[in-house]
Amino acid sequence: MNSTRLGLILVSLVVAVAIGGQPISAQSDQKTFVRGIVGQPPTVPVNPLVRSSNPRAELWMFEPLISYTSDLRPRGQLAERWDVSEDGLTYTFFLRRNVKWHDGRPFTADDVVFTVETALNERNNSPMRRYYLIRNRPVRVEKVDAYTVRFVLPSPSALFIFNMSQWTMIVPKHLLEGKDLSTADFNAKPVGTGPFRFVELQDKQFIRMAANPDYYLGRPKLDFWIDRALGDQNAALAAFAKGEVDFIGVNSRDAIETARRIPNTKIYSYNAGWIFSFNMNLKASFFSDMRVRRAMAYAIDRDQLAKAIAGDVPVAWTLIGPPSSWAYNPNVPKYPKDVTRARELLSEAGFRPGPNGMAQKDGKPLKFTVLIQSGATDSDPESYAVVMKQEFRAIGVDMDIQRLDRPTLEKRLFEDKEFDAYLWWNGYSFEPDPAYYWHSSSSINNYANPELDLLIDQAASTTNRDARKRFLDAISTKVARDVAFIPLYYFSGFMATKTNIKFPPPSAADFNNSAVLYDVQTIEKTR
Amino acid sequence: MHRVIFRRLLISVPLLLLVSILSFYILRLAPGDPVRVYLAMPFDQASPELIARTRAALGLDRPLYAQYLRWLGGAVTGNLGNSLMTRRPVSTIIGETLPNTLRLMGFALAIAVTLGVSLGMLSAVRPDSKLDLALSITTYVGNSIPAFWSGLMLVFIFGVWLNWLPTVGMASLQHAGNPLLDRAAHLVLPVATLAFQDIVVWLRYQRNSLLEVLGEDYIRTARAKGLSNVTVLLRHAWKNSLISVITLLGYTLPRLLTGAYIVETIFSWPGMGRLSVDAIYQRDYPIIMALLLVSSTLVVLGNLLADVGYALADPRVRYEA
Repeated sequence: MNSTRLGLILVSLVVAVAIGGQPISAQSDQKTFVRGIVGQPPTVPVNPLVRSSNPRAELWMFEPLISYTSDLRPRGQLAERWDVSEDGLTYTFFLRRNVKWHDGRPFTADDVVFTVETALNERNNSPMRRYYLIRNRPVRVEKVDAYTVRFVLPSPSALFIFNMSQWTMIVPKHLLEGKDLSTADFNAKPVGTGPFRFVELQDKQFIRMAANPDYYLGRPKLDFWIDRALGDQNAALAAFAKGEVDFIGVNSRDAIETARRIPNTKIYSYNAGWIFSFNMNLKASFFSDMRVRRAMAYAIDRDQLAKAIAGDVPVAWTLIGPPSSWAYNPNVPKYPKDVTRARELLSEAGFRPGPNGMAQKDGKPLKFTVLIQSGATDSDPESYAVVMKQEFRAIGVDMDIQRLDRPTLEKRLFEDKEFDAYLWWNGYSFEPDPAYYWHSSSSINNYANPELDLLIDQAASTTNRDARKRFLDAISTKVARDVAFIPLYYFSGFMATKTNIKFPPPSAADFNNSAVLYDVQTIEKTR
Repeated sequence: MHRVIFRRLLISVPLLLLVSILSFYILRLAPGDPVRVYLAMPFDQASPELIARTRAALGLDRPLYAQYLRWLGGAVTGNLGNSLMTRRPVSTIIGETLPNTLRLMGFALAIAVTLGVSLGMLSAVRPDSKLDLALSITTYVGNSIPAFWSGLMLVFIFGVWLNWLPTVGMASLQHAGNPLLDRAAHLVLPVATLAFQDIVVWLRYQRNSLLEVLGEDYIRTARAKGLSNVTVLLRHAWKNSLISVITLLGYTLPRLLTGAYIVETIFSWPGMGRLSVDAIYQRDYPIIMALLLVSSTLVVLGNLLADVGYALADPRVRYEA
């Protein structure tokens, strides 16, 4: 009997030790907002100079000079206001005087100069560097006085103010000067100026931030902000349904439907500026013929595809969008499904139906491979590829589907440039710069058109929005006329949140992924 | 015996070395590298120069054998390098995640063995009875349900629908009650999912080996001597039937480890499974290497454990030193 009891006590002790861990402090009466994160869990380094770690908890602790209002007008963040010289080359930022770092030290022009110079220093390998390059030439930064900073641009840029709102957060000079950026203690104990300050980070589990009581735009209405890592979309939905998290992203139609059925749930959507598209290697033999590309565009029914697979999303006909964007051009050539026209175009290009009914020219079939990412959280590429394969088949074009994991796919596309076609998201912000995808110096699809290069350069250096819009419209039209790619739809992001959470109105700026929404301090949680 | 164990441990050193060489090379056969994920740029906007510089900074531009030797040199001295993504020491990361996975595996193993062995005994005592049939059907069905499905069902039944148990992570972030109870509650569903599939295996092994032993002559002799059924079963039959059951230990550790990979994703459990899935997608080589080393060590140890247990349970088995 005694030995049995002793055994029981021993077993329960062992179990208690095995379950183990430190107690987690109770904070039940405080207003804590928990965001569920799938995919890229919170992790060190939390330092915008080192890398832009998703899910970008940095946004709540660090700030850039500029941010955007929900109707997408630039406004001052760490800078109170700014002047632009007549020639568009000199930007003078007047910094707020009442901003303090989370450790109490004042924020000054020295911090701005330090951040920009550190980012620009090639030895630091900072991903932030590109924001301070104008057509590959660095900007010059100088301190005018303790609260005034001057940037001198090598050439006028329509994108400079936008860049200053992006991953260009200012970091404290007094904590990082002379440190090795990749190993600095700072990376695990970040100090910023933002509405929330750092409390703790359990690597790949959660990051906890607390309201910054001295925030210059007023103390946040929440007490704590937690980003919590979740296993996958199902785990996220379960955690959300149970109320363990207040906010999750919902990436598929099924997930959105499931989330809708959870009581006290609100679904928000936002346009992220991404275009899901079918891209061709324009150097591959038959894709160099515009008639073939046009035939393929006529072969697919974009509306039907979107309805069946992507859901309620705007169908895309050109590169800049979505339709709500100021830069959207509705008057571009469109290619509604027309199988007869597609066949005519193929035969004009010299492709005739062979013995098996598939198009061929000089005995060579029109056959290629499309690359898609496997293991993506989003099942769209897979579904799109399967349906498009059938649609292409109907005009005699034979498409194979190859699934690659992300690193492999990126290597094939961006380094080896060995591909016929791929399905991918092309990203354009609300201040679009088509250079990356369509300028001959960088185009992944091997698009080379001197006329378009010129238009792209003009659009990028024109600061007047109306004038800039005319250049962007011309670009949209040209790319659509050439069928330089086949845009499919404008990506909409969805997020589910509890009805007791009050957000500032979500804008076209993406809540999850962009440094734009800066009214975090106004987010409220009621009982 | 001690010498045997020592010798086995010694043999496992070249074995692990071989595993490390093979996995290092196989790992690099997969195209792509960690640089783009490391830079965390929007999809495709990293310039070739930045990529080349970063690759050099991470030491990934050197010949493969040199990279391996460098890794091995570190590993021998206990330095497994730093994660390419977070720059944290790999040993620290493993030290954080391994106990979490072992905790899952330990509880699952204990439950699977206890339930599996006792249910297996019940089955064997009355073969072809209704109970045996019911257990057989349940276990066959149970064995055919993959963990990613049974885990999700548990989440939705006990987590969402009944709302009895938590489904995320190892502990609540804002829990007011007893922290130990909170942690225990977080263990229930993942351990149940993990144990579920293993119970079946233990049950089938136990049932069949006990049935076999019960048909032996010496059992009839024992019964003829007038020993009670319970004594015959426990002292004579069960003990002997355990010999083949113990060998299962060797197979079960790797099984549990792979099972943990799935369970950790479903329950957002911060263990080695999730770490390795992330690491593989990010091509975070130092972490993958360390994880392979840890898991192959577990497999080697599991087999050794089974052999030792085998010898302890069966006096006929004696390893020549």
